[in-house]
Amino acid sequence: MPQRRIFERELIVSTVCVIICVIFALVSTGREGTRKAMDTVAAWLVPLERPAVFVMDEVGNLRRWTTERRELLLELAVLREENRQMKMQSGMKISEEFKKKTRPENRYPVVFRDPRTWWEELRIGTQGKKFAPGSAVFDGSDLMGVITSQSGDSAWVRMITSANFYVPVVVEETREIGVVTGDNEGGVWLRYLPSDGDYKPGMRILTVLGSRLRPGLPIGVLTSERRTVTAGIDEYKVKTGADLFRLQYVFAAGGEGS
Amino acid sequence: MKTLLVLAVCWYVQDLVQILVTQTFLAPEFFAVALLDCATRSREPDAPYSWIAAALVGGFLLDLRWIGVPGLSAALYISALLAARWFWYEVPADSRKMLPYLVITCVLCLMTTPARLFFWDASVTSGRLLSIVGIQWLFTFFAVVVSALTRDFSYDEERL
Repeated sequence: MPQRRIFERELIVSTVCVIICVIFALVSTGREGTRKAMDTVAAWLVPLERPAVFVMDEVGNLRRWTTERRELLLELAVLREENRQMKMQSGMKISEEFKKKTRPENRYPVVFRDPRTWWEELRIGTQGKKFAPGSAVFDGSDLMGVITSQSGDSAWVRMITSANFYVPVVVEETREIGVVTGDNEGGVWLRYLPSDGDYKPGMRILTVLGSRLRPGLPIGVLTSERRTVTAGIDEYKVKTGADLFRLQYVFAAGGEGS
Repeated sequence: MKTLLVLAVCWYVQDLVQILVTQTFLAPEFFAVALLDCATRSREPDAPYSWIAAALVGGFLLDLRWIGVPGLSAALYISALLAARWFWYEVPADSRKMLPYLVITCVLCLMTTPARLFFWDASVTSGRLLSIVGIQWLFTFFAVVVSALTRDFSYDEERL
């Protein structure tokens, strides 16, 4: 059959089909029968379309999960910030409480400080008051040592710069527990902290339960100076709140007697 | 038979893709590409009736499954089929290579897209019309390129 003849027939058949389709579309769209036919086709295709529906469901689940996770992480960040603020407030309250307690009548003079043990211990005049070993001694409202012994009207105070001074403490903002100790050379170090902690200079160091000292006593703040003693464990230098260079008077808590 | 199977698979893939991108994008015209490819494969014009029937059935099924205007896609596919065969066999036999096939198929496939968008809700397409059309055209173009490459490969095999 010649090519032109084929195309003529094809043109006629195709045009007729297109016209029928268009008329059918105009007539049948929106009719009840069409809706039924659509339902039937959809029902036939249900088993075949299952893989795509499954993928869609899984994608939907994954999307919901990621949205929920994002919201939870945001909420967690807000709660952490609130928690940090509350901790800061509670730390400030403790500090204020100690400032109130350090009244002039609890103020005692430093009567002896041996140059050979300058950073280890000193003696204070207790003016007749008796202190139990382990009582806290402050410069202002910050811990500077503990009473180790008393004889008569004087008591020996072990300073926080002493290498024999060990006090469990907490980094207020991260709640990591460590131990504060001195180096007999005027430095105070926070030991046994994990290296991967998020520590920043200026974070406050407070005492915690674990020694005779009551928890919440301020010691000082973290500095940027750090040293690694063993893998995974760092020591951070602490800037003491107490001015340990010029100690003329200190405050002591828990004295008894006149 | 093999050709019909290819057409059925392409229709099915288009249907699955449309489910995956439902109410977001338009599925690429896999069925139309396969139809135009199959209908212009023979060296001399063959009887068009099986292709017209395939276009009619595939289009009607697509309309009943997705658009709800039975006959619209069928009419578009038959028109595209007629035009494709017309232009393809007007090209001299020696020049029926990849380029004319790409041009004819791409143009015809791309022309069917706007008609299908008429029945989308305006709120779905508002502000996204360009991306909907663009992405559909892009993937359709890839499909056309793949079919063109397979044709080229099969021509080479025939020559061998």
